[in-house]
Amino acid sequence: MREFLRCSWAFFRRDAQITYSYPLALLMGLAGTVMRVVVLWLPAQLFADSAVFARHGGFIPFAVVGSTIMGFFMASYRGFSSSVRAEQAMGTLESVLMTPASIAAIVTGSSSWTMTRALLDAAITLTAASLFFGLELRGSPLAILVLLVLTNLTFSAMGMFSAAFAVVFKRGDPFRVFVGGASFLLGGVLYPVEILPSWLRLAGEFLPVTYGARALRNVVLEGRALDELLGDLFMLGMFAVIAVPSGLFAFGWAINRAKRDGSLLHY
Amino acid sequence: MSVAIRTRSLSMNYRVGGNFFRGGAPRLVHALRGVDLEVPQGEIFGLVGRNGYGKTTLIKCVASLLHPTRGSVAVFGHDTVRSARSLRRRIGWVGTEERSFYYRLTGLQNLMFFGRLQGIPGAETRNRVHRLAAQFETEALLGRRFHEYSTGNRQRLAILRALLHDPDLLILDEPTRSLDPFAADILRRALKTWTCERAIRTIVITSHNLDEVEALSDTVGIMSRGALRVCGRVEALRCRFGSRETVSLNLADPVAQTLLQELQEEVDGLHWEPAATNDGTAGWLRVPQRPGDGSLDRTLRALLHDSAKIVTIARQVLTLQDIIDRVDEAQPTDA
Repeated sequence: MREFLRCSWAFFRRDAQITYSYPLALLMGLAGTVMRVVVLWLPAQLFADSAVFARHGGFIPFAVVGSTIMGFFMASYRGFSSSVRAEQAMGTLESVLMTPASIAAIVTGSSSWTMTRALLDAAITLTAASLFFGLELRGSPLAILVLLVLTNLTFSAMGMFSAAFAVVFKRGDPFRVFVGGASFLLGGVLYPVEILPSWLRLAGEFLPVTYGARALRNVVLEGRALDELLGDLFMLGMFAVIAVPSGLFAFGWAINRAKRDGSLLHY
Repeated sequence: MSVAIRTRSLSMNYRVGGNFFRGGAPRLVHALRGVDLEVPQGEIFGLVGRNGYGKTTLIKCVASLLHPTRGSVAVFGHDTVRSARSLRRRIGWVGTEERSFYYRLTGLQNLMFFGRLQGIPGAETRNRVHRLAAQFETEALLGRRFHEYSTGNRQRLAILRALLHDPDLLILDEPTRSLDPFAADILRRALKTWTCERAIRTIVITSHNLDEVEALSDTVGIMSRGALRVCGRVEALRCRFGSRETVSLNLADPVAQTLLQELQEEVDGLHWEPAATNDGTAGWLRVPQRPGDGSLDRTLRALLHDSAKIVTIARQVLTLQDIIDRVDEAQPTDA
């Protein structure tokens, strides 16, 4: 465990140092997060009278929580796969794999900085919405954190499949296209799922983002406690229990396959 | 004798070409063909051969960066596929990949990162980095970002990283490729010292600098078309592949025909080569000899008796390159 933490810390420090070496990009990234909230003002005027959003407290609260969860989804999902892809392209993957670090430590470590950034972005998004649009945050920060960590686990597992794909096929990730696209369309991120036909709503039930977005809205906007969300938490937990070991296995298998066919550093 | 590396019938095949969308069947490339190798602990083993003959594939299998198609590799008695993680603590690797560091990080930050992944505490890593940097005269580089490094300095940093966790086996793929002669000399001396410090320490080195391989290595292996054709000490290989060494006598005037005939009757293979360039000498008398056979002594006495004027004397031995040539020539050409 100590070694696992040491490895994860090494990756976290490395990514923090690399990010810090681009100070302007860091500042612009933070400004971009605030801007994403501010620009919601215009569509909020368009949907001001929408009955669909009214049932969810209006467009702004719905969209803010939706963009928070989507930002988190993208960070969790892309964090590791992008890191593996970058390591392949930079030529450092071989050096990392020459160390005794375990696959689990590499996966966790490689996405730890991205996840921290995503948490920071989520906090900035909610704070900015509260400042600019008077969004009332009712949920406890601890409940939000627990929910985000659980959501992150399931999203990250999909990122491991994506990384496994990158190791074997290099480009053309179908997980990003299908899982990412479906999450946007069917997960109730950009608009309430009630407007979808029933068969599409049913398809959305197979996506973890559906449960994550619904649970987060209930906590942030309605101030519900975690014990009131056991159904969504159970589903997220189930996704995590199945997807995380499968994702780790898939990535380990991909690395071994690349070692067999000598394509570890191809990109 | 304890063995550091043992390979048994090691084969590695790659599929290349072929495309699902554009069609075409993939071609099978036999990068390694049944390699059997044993490297004793404490040795410096040099691996030589032409480009594309399987040197890097072989050492990558040993380093657990590649999994063999058939056969096995054991390092210090442990299989490199099944015990890859634990073995990596004992293996230091310097590859030819120049981009194996993070460009935005300094040399020190890079080494601290890899040190942590090796399980070395931060303070200890820092101490080791500074100690190694002093040994390899690279202290001034540590604070600079990697993208500012010259190719040679990148190579030096890779060597520091390979030694950071105090491995028992060091695998070096063309380690002095980009180093200036001074840095290369420091490295060669450091490697010699490093192996002498502990009996278990073993080095595998591949290089196209054959003089370097000969100077460093206790044993040399010659790869040809994916197979390890020959393995042994360089002197033993010379005896095996060389006929006799040749001593060449550069003479100011041609040898008298009668004297030449007499010498040729006494010394098998002796011959006269007229000078190819107009350097003021007449040519070279080539005298093949084995140590102690007296052919050189007889030739010199006969020449001096005939008042021949010897301008220079040169001893020519079979080089490692000659041996590689002969090994390659002896093998049938195949795909």
